[in-house]
Amino acid sequence: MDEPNPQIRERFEATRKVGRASMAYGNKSLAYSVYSSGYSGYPGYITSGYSGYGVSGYSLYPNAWSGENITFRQSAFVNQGDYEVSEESSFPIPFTQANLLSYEENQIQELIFRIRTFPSISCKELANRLLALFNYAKEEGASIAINSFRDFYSFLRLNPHLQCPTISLTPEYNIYVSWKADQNRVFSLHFLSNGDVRYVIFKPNERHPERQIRVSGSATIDILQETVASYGVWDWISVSETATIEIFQETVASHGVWSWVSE
Amino acid sequence: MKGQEIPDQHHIARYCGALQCPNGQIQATAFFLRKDEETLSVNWMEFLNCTNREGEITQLRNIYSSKFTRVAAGVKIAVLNVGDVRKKVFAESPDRRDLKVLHDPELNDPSHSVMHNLKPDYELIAELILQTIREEYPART
Repeated sequence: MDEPNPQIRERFEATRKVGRASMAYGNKSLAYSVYSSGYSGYPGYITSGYSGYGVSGYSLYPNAWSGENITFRQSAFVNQGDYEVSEESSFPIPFTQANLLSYEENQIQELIFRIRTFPSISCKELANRLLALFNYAKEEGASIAINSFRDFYSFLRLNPHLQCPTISLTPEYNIYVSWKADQNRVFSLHFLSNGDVRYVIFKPNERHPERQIRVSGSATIDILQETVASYGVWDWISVSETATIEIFQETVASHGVWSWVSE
Repeated sequence: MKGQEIPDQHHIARYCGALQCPNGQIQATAFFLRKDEETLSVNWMEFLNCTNREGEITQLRNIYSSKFTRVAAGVKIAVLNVGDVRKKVFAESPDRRDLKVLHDPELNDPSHSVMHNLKPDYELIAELILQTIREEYPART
């Protein structure tokens, strides 16, 4: 058999470790959201906002994502080897490398589908660009890093009204997006797989036009916008908010308008 | 010779994977390191001892075909001038980063060389290197 892709092998090992670690807690039922997994630093911010958008694509990808909340029941077989854990799960835990890859691919396809159907995302081309990268990665026997993709998706949900970025994958298959304008304006984001995003900003120095300001740093997605606010990045990567009549209410919902105009 | 510093007036080529070249445009990710990497692989073009660029690119394509099981359609070759890269990064990185490009021959790739000192903060360094690309070629015909 061919030597497995190192990226897949690494994630497989990580999954095995998570499986082993969870055994130490004995009998318990765990109900957790697939969107929240891995986001212990800011739980639930991905899940918020799903209701009401009417995305009905779940049935298209029945293998792994049959719903948002999944219940695991684990029994105590502590420290008795790698897999002596009894589980009743409505969700197939990917304990083989092939299953892991397929499980992650399903999640990524599901998220791309959501990006495609999410009405507020200004860049309609985004889903196609991501799908192209997904297919390229598949040709290499790999997949986009799922945690990086989830972070990118969260970022989009928080900031839907952005111009289309250029998207590429890092050698670790993380998402890297970049906006460029003029000769000397760059804003790039590297969605690491640990919940952090690293940013790079190049912008003109307004007082000294012949010079450029260059900064980089890292932040979590929820505070990224305020972290880089002083560099005025959002002014030039955003598109003005417009909406058709059909989606107007949900577009302005996040601004709380309906609560006071309905009275 | 292993460890020889490549002169500033010479050129290096970087193999840019298809995932780093969406729509045929090379991105900064082409100059990113993997988690366990400390140096960026490149090829020393003058070492190939060809009379022109076309010959160098042909040789590089042959090297890639022998090194990699498959060279995808979207893969590109970025050609950079060593002095351009070093000067740009030194002048424009916040920590005045002094990159080194050293010859690091491999058995099946004698022109193989490596760029040192990209970490930490390699995203910003990669964005600067991206701006110094002089020429681009498809990695397969």
